[in-house]
Amino acid sequence: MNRFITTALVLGLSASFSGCSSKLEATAQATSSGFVSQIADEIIHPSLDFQAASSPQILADVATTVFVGEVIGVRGTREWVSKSLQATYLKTTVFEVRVLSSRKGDLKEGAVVLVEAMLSPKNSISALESRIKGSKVGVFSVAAKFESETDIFKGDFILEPNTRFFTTTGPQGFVISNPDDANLYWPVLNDVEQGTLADAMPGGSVIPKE
Amino acid sequence: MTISPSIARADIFGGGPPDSYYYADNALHMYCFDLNFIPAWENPMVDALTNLQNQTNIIVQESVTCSADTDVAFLVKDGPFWTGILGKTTCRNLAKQAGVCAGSIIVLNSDLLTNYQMRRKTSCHELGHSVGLSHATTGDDCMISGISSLITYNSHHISHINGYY
Repeated sequence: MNRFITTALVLGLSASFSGCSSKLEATAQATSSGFVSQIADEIIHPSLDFQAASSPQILADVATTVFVGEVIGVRGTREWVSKSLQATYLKTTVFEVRVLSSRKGDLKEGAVVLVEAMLSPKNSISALESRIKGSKVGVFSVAAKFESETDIFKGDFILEPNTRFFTTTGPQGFVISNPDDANLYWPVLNDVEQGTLADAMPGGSVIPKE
Repeated sequence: MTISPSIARADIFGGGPPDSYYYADNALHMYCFDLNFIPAWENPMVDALTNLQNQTNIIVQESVTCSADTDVAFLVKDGPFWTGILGKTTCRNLAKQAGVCAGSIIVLNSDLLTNYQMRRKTSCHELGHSVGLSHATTGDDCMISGISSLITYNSHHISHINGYY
């Protein structure tokens, strides 16, 4: 964990000091790779408005579980339905992730868990899966399968009794590392590609590398 | 490195994701509050609605009940899952016309929006989304992301709204 924190701080400070130009370079790098665009083709932009989270350390402090993992599948989606409005106000996607390196919490390397992320497949789960399978992700979670009394939760996936389920800390809790190692916050891909991420999260466009 | 296309794309008005937010179905913007609505939140929300009406051609009107056809239903949420999210606009009822939403839900985070100014700014921001506005790239408009004291729309965004409605 210390190594994680140190790396996060160094990269966070680096991003802050390097300012806008580094973000634009990261944007250009991500765009030129094509990888981000390909993934973006398979998700619905979540239309979220972010607090100015200035570094991954903030996420790590809030989270009870932090790990780096590899996406090995997409299990399905979960709808959050407001009881009072009788309407779905959030749809999340549930990923199957193998733990590569545990940074906080009791997860062991090699464990396979389900991770709920705040994004929706645009076309189909299988299309999204084909794009994202094998990707490395950073996971920040505050709760095991978060549920509340004011909502009804509808899932189209099966949760086996021995499989642990982690709800991530909002949109910044599920972070994908692309092949060019740009380490972009996920799923704010449109913001990254449009160069507006700096407005949303000053100094927050990178996550700790291993 | 070419960034001009990115800047241009950043201000697309209406039409729905992934490029922008949905148009509302008409200039009459009906709104309602969730049954679990916290009364202390009413002033900033109503003030933001009034500002939308005063600055643009949009007319706001309260609906006693919340239905799928209500243009905006306000919902206040808290809890750790919403870490980092000030607000969120979701279309719950797509209109038959492409790129148009007949009913949106605006979720506001009570953990983060702790005072009138923050609630007013975020209400202004989410209402902007509900009529089709995208994020601002300049610091003179409540459509900018993150925390700020901006609670009105700039002339560019007003032109977008009044040009359509």
